Amino acid sequence: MTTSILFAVIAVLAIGEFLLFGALAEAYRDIRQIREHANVVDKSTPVDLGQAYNQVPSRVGLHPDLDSAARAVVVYVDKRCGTCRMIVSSLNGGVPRGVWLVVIAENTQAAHEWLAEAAINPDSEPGRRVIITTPDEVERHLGQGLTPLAIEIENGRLVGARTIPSVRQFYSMVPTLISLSVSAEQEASRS
Amino acid sequence: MPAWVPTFLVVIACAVLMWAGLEKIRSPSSLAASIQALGGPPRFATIAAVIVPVAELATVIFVVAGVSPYLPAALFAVLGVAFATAGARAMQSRAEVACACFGTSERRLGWPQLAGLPLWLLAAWSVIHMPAFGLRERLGCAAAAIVLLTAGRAFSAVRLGAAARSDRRAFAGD
Repeated sequence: MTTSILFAVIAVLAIGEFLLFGALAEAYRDIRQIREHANVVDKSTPVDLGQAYNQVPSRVGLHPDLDSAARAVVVYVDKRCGTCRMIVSSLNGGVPRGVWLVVIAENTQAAHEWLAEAAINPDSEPGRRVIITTPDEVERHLGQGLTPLAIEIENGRLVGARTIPSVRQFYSMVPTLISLSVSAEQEASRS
Repeated sequence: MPAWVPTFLVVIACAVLMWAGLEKIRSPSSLAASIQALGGPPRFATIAAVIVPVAELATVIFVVAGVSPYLPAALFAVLGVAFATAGARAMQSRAEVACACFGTSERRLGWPQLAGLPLWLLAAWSVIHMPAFGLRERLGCAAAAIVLLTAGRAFSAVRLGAAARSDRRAFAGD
C-alpha cells in the first residue's frame, strides 16, 4: 500500500512539473515571437545587391586586392549604428583574417578616432584591411546605406550580401577559406 | 499474441492521451478556436474544449484505477472517432485548421487524425485484452510514463531557454 501511495505521489508531482515546464516552454516561445515582431532576432537576412551583384570589388569602391580574393567578407560599419559599435569594439585591435572593414564616416579623422578606440592601428596588418569611405560613396556604389552589412566576395566577384544583427553573427561570417593572393603592398615589401 | 503487446499498446495510448490532455488543460483556448474554425458554435466550442481533455485524462485514470475495461475502451473509441471526424471535416472544408492536439500545436488537422482512428480502436481492443495487473503495477507504470513525459518537456524547455539566452547575449552581451 505504501508503494502505491508513493507511486501516486510521484505521478501527481510529475504532472505538476509537466505543467510548469510546459508553461516555461511557452513563455520562451512568447519571447521568441515578441523578438521576431520587434525584429531583434539574431538571424541574418539576405540583402539584394542590385546592380553591384557579380561586380569586381574595385568597381564598387573596395580595395583592388579584393579583385583577386578567392573568398572574403567585406563588412560595412557606421559609428551611428549600435550593432556596428559593438562589432568594432569587439575587434580589440584585430580584424579576423578574410574580413575587410569598410568604415563609413563623414571624414577620415572621425574614422581614425573610432578605429583608435578599438585599438586598430591603420599601419598594422589588420589596419591595412580597413577602408574608409563616406555615406555618399556607399550610396553611389551600392544604392543603399544599410549597416552593418556583410558583402561576400568569391573569386573576385560580389556574390551576396547579408545583414549582421549581432557580434555573434559577425564572427560566424568569417570565411573559413581565405585568399592566398599576395597584396600589392606585400609584393612590394618582398621585392 | 503475446500478453505484453496489448499492455504496451495501452501504455503508449495512455501516455499520448495524458500528454494531450494536460497540454489542452493548460491552453484550452487553442482547442476552442480549432472547433470554431471547423464550424462549431462558440458555446459548443467552449464546452468541448473542457470535455475533450477531461475525457482524455479520465481514460488514463480509468485504466490506472482498474475499473471495468469496457469503460476506457469506449472512451478510446469515442475519442478516436471524434479526432477522425475533426480531421475529415477539415479535409472536406479544405480549411487550414490548427490541430490543437497537444495544446498550441502548429500542425494542421487532416489525414493524420483519420489515420489515427484504427490505432485508437486497437487501443480500445487492447485495453480489454491486456492481462490484469495489481494497483501497484498500474500506478508504477503510470508514474514512470509521466516522469518520462516530464523529462521530455523539461528537455524542450531547457533547449528553448538556451536559445533565448543565446539571442539575448547576442544583442545585449552577458
